[in-house]
Amino acid sequence: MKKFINKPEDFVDEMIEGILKAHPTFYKKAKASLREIIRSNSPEKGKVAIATGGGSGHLPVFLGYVGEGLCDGVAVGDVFASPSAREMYNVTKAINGGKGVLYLYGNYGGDVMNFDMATEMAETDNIEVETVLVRDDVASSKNIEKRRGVAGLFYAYKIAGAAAYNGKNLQEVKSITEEALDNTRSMGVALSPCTIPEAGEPTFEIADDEMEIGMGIHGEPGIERTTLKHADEVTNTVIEKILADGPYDKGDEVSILVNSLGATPLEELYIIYNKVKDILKDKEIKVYNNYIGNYATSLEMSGMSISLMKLNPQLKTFLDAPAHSPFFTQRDLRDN
Amino acid sequence: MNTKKEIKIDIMVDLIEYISNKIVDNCDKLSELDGKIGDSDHGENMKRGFSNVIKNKEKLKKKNTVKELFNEIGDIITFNVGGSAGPLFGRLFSDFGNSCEEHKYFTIEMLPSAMNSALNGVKDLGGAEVGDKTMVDTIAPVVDFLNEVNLSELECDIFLIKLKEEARKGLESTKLISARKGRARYLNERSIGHMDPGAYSCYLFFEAIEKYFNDNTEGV
Repeated sequence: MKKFINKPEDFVDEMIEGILKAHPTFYKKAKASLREIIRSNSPEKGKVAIATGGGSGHLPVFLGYVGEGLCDGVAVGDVFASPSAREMYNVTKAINGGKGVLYLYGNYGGDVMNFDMATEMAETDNIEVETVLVRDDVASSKNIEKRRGVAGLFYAYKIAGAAAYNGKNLQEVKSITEEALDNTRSMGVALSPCTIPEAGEPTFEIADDEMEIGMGIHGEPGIERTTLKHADEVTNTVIEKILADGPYDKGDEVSILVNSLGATPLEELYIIYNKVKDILKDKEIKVYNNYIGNYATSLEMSGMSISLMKLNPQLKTFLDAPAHSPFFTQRDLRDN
Repeated sequence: MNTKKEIKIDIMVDLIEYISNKIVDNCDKLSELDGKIGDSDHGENMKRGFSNVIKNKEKLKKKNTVKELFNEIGDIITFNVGGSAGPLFGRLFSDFGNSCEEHKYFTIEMLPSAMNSALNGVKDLGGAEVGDKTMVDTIAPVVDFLNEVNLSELECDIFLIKLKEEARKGLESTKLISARKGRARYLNERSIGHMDPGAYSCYLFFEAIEKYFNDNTEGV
């Protein structure tokens, strides 16, 4: 293991301390714990609040999407492990502006169990809570209900955050976010593993000339392990699977996210995007916009994922709305 | 043994404190096991949860019923442990209590249904079955034993040793199989040869129970 760390057990806390020092006007602790982080101007009265959370190791997911036009607070777990219900509950209380709280996070067992417990606790305080699970990873299961959440989290945060900032109520924010996710599919390809600092060993083994299609962001097995192919061929395989699974037809307009799992450089992401754009042009699917970079990572894993969100006029408006966090900024792109 | 002998709430809390200390003392061992097939944090997480149980000892002693007592313990664990272990171990205790209803005392007679309820709760929540290399593997043989045995015919010390042995048997079985639940499942066959840390925690409960009653001569 070669990492810039001190004691492995301090990995998460020192990372959060660094973020708080780097962006002191932007983030604050909900109470005393480093694992409960909220936007500095939260709670905002009269706005639906959005809470997220999950294991560490995926920046900018999750903490990086706490921002204006995005989420209001986050419970931060150890690397690849769910935070506790207590942390989620404390965040919920701290960000509640009286209009209810949306729990928006990836569909992983530990997170679901803890967020459900936090929901019960919040409800005894008369805080209205709704949940939307992100399950965009096509490769993780044939059954949509069982799928895991990966880079599609970005689209979920972007749309939900914009809807909440535009004064939508809790039920509306929930249904708009669900609509966005119904239109979103992702799939990843891994080339090399990552190492959890406290474990010290790579999460999986893979030969130098192999790739795993559909591998999850914690090293969950994918659907196929083969020899590494050219970028165009890999891209084609991934896009074909996404298009076959999702609601994408000729004439549709989509947003594309080409995401690095941590170690794959931008150069390679653009080689992939080059092919994605050509394939979609052939299929007569119009690309409305794109996001290319590190949006949902897995420590230093090398690999990438592609996500597609089909757009309609309302989703376009929310996607184009401004957003700002230290990890993701977009100006107001809406006409008017 | 007398299966109807009433064990009061404050004795139950004393026992729970003893068990909790056992978990806290084994923090490094649990994390070491987790390091082989997981992310080395099981000990720290369990320690955080059970330290909080100990911290709340006086509050727990004020509970009126066995159900309230175990529900509170379950909540403390779920609330503080995090990961998947928090809700699963929390459920184990909460559902143990749920079968005890409004009784103000615990009796050995109540143990089979309480353990069945606890096991079913954990299986429901986590979806694990016997052979998946989880805490279920430790608890299931204990439950099988409780379902078959005629408790009143057994001497108390033999009974407690038997509980521990069944748990140990279940724990040892996790060494031989590859994980199908939890983080270790990503390792597939590479998880064979190592005990499951969650299963080990459950074994510690039964080891502690046996030792507690041995050290407290009054017995059950």
